Amino acid sequence: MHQSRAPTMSVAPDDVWPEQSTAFPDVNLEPAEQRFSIVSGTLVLFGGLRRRSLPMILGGGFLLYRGIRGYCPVYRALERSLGIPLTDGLSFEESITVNKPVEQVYALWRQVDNLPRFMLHLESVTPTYGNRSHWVARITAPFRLEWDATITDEETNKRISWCSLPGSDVHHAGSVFFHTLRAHRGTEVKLIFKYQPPAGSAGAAVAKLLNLVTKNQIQADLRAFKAVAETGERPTIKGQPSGRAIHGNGARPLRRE
Amino acid sequence: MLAVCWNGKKDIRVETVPDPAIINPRDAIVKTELTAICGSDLHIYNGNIPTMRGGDILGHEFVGEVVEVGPGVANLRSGDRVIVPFPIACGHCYYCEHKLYAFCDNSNPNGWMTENLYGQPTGGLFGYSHMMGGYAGGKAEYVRVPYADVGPVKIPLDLSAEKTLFLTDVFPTGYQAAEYCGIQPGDTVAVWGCGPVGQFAIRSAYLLGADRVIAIDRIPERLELARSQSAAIAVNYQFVDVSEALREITAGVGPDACIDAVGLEAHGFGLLGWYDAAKHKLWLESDRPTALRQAIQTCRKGGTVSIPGVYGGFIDKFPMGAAFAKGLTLKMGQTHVQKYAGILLSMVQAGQIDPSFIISHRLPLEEAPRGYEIFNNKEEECIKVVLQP
Repeated sequence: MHQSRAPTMSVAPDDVWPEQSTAFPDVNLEPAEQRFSIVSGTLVLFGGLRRRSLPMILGGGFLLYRGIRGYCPVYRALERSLGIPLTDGLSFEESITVNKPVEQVYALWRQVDNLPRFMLHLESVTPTYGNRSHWVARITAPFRLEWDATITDEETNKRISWCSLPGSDVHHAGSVFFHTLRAHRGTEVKLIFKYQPPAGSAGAAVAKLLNLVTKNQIQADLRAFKAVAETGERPTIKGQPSGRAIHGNGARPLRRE
Repeated sequence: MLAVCWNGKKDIRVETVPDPAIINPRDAIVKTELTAICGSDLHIYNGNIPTMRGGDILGHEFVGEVVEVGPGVANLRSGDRVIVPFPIACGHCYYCEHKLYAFCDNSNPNGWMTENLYGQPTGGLFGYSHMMGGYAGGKAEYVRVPYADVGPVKIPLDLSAEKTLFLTDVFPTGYQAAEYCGIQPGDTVAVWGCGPVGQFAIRSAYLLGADRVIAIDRIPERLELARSQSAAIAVNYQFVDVSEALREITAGVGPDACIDAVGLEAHGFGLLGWYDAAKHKLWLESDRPTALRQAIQTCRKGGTVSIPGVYGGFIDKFPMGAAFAKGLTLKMGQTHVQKYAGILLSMVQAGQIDPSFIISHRLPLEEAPRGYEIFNNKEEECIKVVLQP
């Protein structure tokens, strides 16, 4: 289970990824962030001059510089330390072993309206036409996050690849590989998943911090897939009784001496 | 319904909570006829099991009547009388298919917790903390039983609940521990801890062909029970040196197999006992392995140390040198109850054993807090408490 800069295989055709519009090769700020940086930099700089505060003058100057120049050395340093260009999106690779024949495992995944049974962040996936489907994420109202995706490539009992279509809220692409293990050890399922966080570099920086959360989410999804494939249901304790209900809420201390 | 809830260290309350309902297709609801307090429940009682939440319903030993089944359960009907094994097992993963039910890959919705702690996710258990799944337990009038087509074993109406209740945990646990010893004719088996699991380990060792079984404890009535019920040789470690006694009984050879039926809360003594107590208080050592150290130290060359006692974290001063020098085999782990329940039920039916011999207290469910207290403090010669809803 690891995350790598370049997935071991291409997960999406290049043309569906958002274009990077860059006038200079080293510009790494989006126009909106550039404008914001100029305005806030000016305010901080003048505030610093009035209060004779050296840190504020330097900070304001820095914001102004990166706004005008369109280049942020902090982002670059962050990219270096993370080893991944922020604008490249995030990719994950996770796998799990399912104790069922490959035909059954493949069929469960291939029928896309099954996906919300184990992808816990999905509300629904509806096949539309051909290889296309409409996906709705499970997030709190009034927000809505939905997109269309298409299967770009598939090989029965071996591989399914898909990606979101242009105009989606979240650009993503994924491939799932199926491999029969020897001596009745089941089927190995490997998921490679790549997504482009919204809001440019700032969004990517936030997403980087959420990296572990996303990774855990993908692991949880795969575990749920295994449970559905092997047992027909997902284990849960939601809806069972406890002594918490009678005391109003679940926010009671874990330990009370 | 009434349910026994954990509210904190040594804070057990009987409360009125909502009745359970079928959640998944393979669920069943069982109306509890009889339930019990297990020695491992005392680890929770004493606050030694992490990820408990206030209000959790306790209990993992229960027998009762099926009152409702989900659409995915074909082998049970309302009115069936069943015992329910304490590990929850899906029946279809690699481990279930290899009869290693307690290692079920799918039954623990919080498998990520034990995966982080132990490297791999472990199966779910009834009423035994959220890292073990957070399932509501059996010390309640009704219990939701997941994967009811796999776990529950039907029992005939002419067998009493008291005779069958311990097929859910302590009898199979003692039996598995004895089976792990690979007993050969002429073997001597030493058992540390004469609580319920120890009593069944002793009896099972004899059933599996042991020549002599040595029972080690400090509580007179428990040693007496092992002696009178199972003809064990009793050794009270408060009065004699265990190593000396075992050397003497086996004429220098050492027991062929040693069973640690004590686990992580061993009652320490001597210098190492103080060492463990101090480190435990400072949170530097989670488990106190007095019995285990002794078992390894005294076991004969090439022998087996079998560990049904529960361990949860880390131990110190593990005598690895002795284990290596003598080429010991260590076998341990939660009990795969589903594997043994059928065999042991037929032993009970054939009259080979009446497991109710360990019961010392019969209380109504409402008196559970008192049951925990006397069992934990080993008062009133308490060995096993059963609770009737």
